[in-house]
Amino acid sequence: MRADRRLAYALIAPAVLILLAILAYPMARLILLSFQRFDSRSLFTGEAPLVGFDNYTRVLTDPQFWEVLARTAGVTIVTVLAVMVAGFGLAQLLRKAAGWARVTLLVGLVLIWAMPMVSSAIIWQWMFQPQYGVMNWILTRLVIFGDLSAHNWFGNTFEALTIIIVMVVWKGLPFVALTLYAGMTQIPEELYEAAALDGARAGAITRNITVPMLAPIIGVLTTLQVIWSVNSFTPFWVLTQGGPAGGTTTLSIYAYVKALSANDYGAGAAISILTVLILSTFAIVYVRRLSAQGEIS
Amino acid sequence: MKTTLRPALFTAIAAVGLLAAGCSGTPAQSAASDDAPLTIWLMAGGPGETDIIDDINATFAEEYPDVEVTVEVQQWDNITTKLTTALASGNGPDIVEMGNTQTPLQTYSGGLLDITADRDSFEDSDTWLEGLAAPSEYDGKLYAVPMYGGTKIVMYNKAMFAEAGITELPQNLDELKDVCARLSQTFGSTPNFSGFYMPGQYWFSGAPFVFALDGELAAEDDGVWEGGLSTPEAQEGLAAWRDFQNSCSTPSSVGVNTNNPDQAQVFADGGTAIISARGWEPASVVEKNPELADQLGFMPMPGFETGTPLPVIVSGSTIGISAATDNPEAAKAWLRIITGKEIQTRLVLEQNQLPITPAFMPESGATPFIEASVEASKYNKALPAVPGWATLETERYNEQFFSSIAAGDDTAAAAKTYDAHVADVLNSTGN
Repeated sequence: MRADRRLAYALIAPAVLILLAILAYPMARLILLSFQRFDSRSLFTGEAPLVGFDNYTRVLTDPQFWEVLARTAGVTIVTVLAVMVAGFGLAQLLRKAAGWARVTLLVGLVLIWAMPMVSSAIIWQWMFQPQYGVMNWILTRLVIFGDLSAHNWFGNTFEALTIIIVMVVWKGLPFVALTLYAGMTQIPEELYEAAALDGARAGAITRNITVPMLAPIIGVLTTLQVIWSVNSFTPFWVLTQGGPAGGTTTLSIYAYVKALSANDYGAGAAISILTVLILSTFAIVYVRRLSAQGEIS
Repeated sequence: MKTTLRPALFTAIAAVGLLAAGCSGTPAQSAASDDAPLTIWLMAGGPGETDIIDDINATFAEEYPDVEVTVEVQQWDNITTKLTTALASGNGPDIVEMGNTQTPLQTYSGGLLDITADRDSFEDSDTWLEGLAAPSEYDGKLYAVPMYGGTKIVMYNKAMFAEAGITELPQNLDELKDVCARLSQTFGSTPNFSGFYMPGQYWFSGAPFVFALDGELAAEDDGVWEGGLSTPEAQEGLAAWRDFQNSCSTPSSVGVNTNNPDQAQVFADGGTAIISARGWEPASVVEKNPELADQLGFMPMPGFETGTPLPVIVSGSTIGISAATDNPEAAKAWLRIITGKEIQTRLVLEQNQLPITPAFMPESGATPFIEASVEASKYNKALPAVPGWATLETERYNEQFFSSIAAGDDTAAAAKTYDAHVADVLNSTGN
């Protein structure tokens, strides 16, 4: 028994060491940095005095931080709702579609997933380019929306945010749809047969069988999607750089601009730590609630 | 057995990955020596992309035959962040070119070698252009040297002017708008045609409207920076910018910058008869459409009053040596070549750049572009030389601001946001 335990620890040791090296160390440095006054000059002189909670006070008293936080929360709620609902719909479609349609859909989803984020963002930028973008051309051809041939999608906050959210949802869809689909294939067919015999309708079957059976997966996916959405950086940076006038700046963009553009690395670190705190609080509360319901053991 | 084997396998694979990463993580520390190689970062659009660089390296090789030189051309997007981190890493480039507005951040940070003592070894360094020399200094010490100047002037298509019956060049903005109208009438059948193609994000062309009326983007008072766009002068300038952009350029140009689509391509394709051109663009146009070779005309940008062109922002590049270089002497020698009269003259004649001192202006053979540039540069304006300016560039803040004005945003409200942000950014770094 003891020997078994020792073996278990020995086996897990490399993994723990790796985690410590690639996660704990940078995290510790980040925490330290968030308590230092560290600017571009500190990079060269190494002088970075400890300033206590100064960076945190500066960030928390900056009205822009709260604006950015609220925007991030809004964007995250919309993104996660959209990606979960659309992902669930796609998974149902995958389950019910004929063989060839399913394969086509699967290949499409995997291709979206396989495409590097930067490339996708640049392609979206092209599609919505005011002068030669295909979107303006199509929308103008449709006539419904009037002449959009010169429309600048990134000129106002609402449209820019909408396009970014649609892109983040589009990019996150394959993961959600494929995971839910995989979960659905594990639901025993007898349950559906029994429900069908009892004359249950499609809506009732989804509500009473599919969703409850998938609840643990939905829970984990939602948590992951929230984290993914809050940390989403590339689409924002490539498409708008957080503009116009800071209108699409979310927490990750805000931290990046503070740290690497304004060279206020201390404040950037403080923002990142705050983001981690918010996300882990959310994850802990959410997972606890789920396990309290007995859905995650 | 099956259950214990899999995690063990994964950890083994992960451990191997970690070991491999550990091996490549240690940089090879080469000792300072006379023949340590030089890595040089030059910016897109400059001499790094032409054969001038080969001649510089050939001259350098005569003096330092054993020093291997590698030139890497960098893109302007996000260059500030890249530069700071590359210099801080200690094993980045030995020599770096910087935009003049990006230079103060680097001289402030301390990543560049102090070359104050070598100042006199650079040819005609006492007459360097102020707009390039000032940002190169910090606290009375020299950390970089001017590399070339540049300005934007009006380039027009003579054939299209003739076809539209325009015989006299516009002398002020009102006449320029009339010219736009006549061009649009004549070439109205060309889709998306602009008399004067002016991308809304092209703030280097927008800001002069503010400067011409004595407005400022930002001004320093007793060490504290303030945004200047809320003043009545600046507001009037912004309104004039919108009016000009909207009356001369196609609506789809409001939300774009000069590179996307490439305005030289728009010009070469006949999508416009006029652009505000940078030094390399005439050659770029001719390369895309050789028929235009004899049809290019140049002039300063007309201003509000006849006889007074809009001020130009004299921009340009500086070049400095990394404090971490292994071969400072060779690096200085390389800088002496690129800032010397021989190469500077070629930059003027072949690349339409302004030389770093008037002493290097060739006496004859200057291109029409340079002649118009010299004329235009009489009315010039320098941007704030302050470390925080680099932040605005990374965020593309000016691009988005001038575009929003062209798009019709309320100038007073937009200026208020701008001023607050600019004050915040300029006062937070290096102060």
